[in-house]
Amino acid sequence: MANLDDILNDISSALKRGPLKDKLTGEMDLGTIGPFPLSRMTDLSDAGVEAGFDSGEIRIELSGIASKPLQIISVGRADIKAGTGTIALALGPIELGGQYRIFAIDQPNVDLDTGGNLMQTSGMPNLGDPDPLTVEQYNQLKQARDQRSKLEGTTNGAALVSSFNQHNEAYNQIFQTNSSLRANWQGDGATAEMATHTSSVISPSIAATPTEGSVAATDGIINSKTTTYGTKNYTYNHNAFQQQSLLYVALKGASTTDNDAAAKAVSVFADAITDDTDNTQTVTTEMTETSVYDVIDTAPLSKFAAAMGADPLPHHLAMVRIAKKEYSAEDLDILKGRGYDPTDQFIGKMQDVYAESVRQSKPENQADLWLGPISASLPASQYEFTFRDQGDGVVSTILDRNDLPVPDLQIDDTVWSGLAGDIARKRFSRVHFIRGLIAKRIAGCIERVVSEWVIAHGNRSSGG
Amino acid sequence: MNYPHDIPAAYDDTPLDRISRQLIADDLDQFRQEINNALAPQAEYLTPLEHQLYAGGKKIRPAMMFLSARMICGDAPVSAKAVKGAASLEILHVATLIHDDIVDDAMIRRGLPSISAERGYKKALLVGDLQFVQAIRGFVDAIDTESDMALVRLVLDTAFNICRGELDELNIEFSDDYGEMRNQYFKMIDRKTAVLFGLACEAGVSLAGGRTHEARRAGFFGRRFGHAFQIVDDLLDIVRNETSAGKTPGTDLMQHRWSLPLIYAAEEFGQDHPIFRSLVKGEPLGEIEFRRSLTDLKQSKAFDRAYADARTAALESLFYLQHFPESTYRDALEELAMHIVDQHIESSTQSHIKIQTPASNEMKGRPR
Repeated sequence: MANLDDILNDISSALKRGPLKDKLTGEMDLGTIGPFPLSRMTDLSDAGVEAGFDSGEIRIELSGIASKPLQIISVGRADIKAGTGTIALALGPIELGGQYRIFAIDQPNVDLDTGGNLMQTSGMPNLGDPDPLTVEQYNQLKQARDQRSKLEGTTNGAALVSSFNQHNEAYNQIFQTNSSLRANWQGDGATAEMATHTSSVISPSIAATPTEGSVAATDGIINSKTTTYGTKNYTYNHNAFQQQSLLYVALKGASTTDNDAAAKAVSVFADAITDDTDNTQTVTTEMTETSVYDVIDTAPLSKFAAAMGADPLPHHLAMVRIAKKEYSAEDLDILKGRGYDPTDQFIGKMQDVYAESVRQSKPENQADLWLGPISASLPASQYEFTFRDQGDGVVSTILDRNDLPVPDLQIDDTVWSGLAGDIARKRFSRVHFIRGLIAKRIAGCIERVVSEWVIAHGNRSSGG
Repeated sequence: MNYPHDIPAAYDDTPLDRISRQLIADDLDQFRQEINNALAPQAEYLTPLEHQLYAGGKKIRPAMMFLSARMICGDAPVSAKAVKGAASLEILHVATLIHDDIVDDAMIRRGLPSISAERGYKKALLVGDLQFVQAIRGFVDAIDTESDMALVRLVLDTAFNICRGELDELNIEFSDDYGEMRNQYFKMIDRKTAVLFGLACEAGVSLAGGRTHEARRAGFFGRRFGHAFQIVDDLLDIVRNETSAGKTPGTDLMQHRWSLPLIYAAEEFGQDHPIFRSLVKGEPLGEIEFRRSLTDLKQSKAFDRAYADARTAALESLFYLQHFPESTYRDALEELAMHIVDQHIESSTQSHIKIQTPASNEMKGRPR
């Protein structure tokens, strides 16, 4: 069996002349690197490429990447100490080459404040210094905070807020990913009008000078039987229950443990409103702020907990079957029995929203934007290998140190055009991590070549 | 074009260093003073090591809290309660570090002995508990309006989630449903790491007088930032050099911790690979297998998939910033988020090459 000193001599010789030298100066395959996202929801209209969709996530992929050291400059070895030997290897300049591909994944722009108040973002201010609040804005802010404090001041109210917080991530995510759900939420403005109306009837302070203190209810009607919202003239209840149903089927269409729990919370909340206030999509029992809080204060909390743990009710199952287009007339009757109004239009919306959730889990619609060669030249570099006798003729190889620099990448980016091109150029100019990874992979290839040769050589030496 | 065409900052002057120095230096001075005030009541129980632990670190969480607050209050002085909040946030973070080191049997923290290594597990546990409670007390002290009370709930939820995340990490069990493994991982890092960043940003906006939906949106930014932060930390564990101060590469693999690249690697390499055998079957890895596994990880698609996930999280975080008014503070948060995924990784160990090539070798001249 060869000792470590003999093996080090063999390695040195093989590095200077022989198969190891040939392998090290041959082409080393780094394969495909990425794809990695560079930007999200990027407008593609002026990218100069027909992608087939309006906005998308821009990604870059480097493929067929190979590196080739031009020569072995020197090999040196140190004396063995404590069962460990060291060899230093100096390689000449390394040439790196391959292809890059920048492509887009269909990703509609999100025009909804999904992480905040679910209102349309296109009108939100985003330029200049923050403006001081107007009196009206101050009052709306104060009103929202007062309502939150009031809700959290009761056991049931605190449970409601806590339940929302618990599923906040799921609601945010489904509104982020489901463009059909977003479109229906924004719809013809009915949801936003309802929010403004609710704000105007639950507090007396909107037009008044800001004052501290508790909020007295005006006891204006929140859900009028006759007032309608949006261009389609929905009543408050009609739109509220429609949005609840759409959110429910969107979450069920993207079923995960978290989404199922969030969907359950949506359905339990809607059922509680029906059961405790006699409100449905088609039947309106008008309520004021006072009567809403009376219900919240007196509803048995245990009922919510039990409902969260219970199996889905028939109308929940019917809703999903309708959304999946697997329903019968009986399912429509079940919904009608719970006060829903399953018109063709409503059914169509549920099916669209559900289909969009399902589509999200299917292979992504993508389009190439720009392709071309990528290259880099790295200067000569040094590598220090440690070899340790593991016993039984086995020698471990460790690339301890190297001075291979991070490569500067050469790409012809003159064809990258429009906003997408600008963003790709800006983001790619800062991908220090990816460039560092390329250097790591080149060093890893060099280590692997030496390591595998040592293992194979060890096997031969021991007759294996 | 030659990439990078923007000249990278020196490795040791990160965007966080520059932002801390140029944008929030006064805030951080007040923060340090507040930390000293907060530690005074427990002075008799602390050793210089705990004070060094507080003095170390990059202070990224307080920095993010101040930047979030300044997205609302601009260049005006930040409120005293925001300073108290930032100090409490850091104390909460230190509490998690002390408990982390107990759970991980870690001997070193920030180049110094860990509290548990120095003072033993019992005292470390209690000192960690002390920090947890002190953090909550600090947040309660920072509350001066009824509406801020929701923050107390947020802080308690955050502390609760951090503890759950620590337990989740110990409880992740192998399943050949790798999608479910990934879900478990994201839930774990959301609780263990991201909620604290979320708290930093949400509390910053809230304590500066921002609206509820703005605070909530900032919280989402912080949590996505936290996801990117943790995944990159997992990746750096694979690619860091042996000589990185106080840290050894491959710690997650060595300690059988299911990091994201390791989940993807188990799926990619299959059950015959040492990584799978080590993580799933608990087989010890010899030095050669361990080294081979680290090299395989660096070259793997698993690494790329995890890095792509980190970039996605960082890019998602930007969505939640875009409707805050344009300001240097918002830009700074965006820069920090992208720096997490664009940071330099140590490619070489240039200064450590120590062998002189013998003159007898076939020299063509020493490189560079």
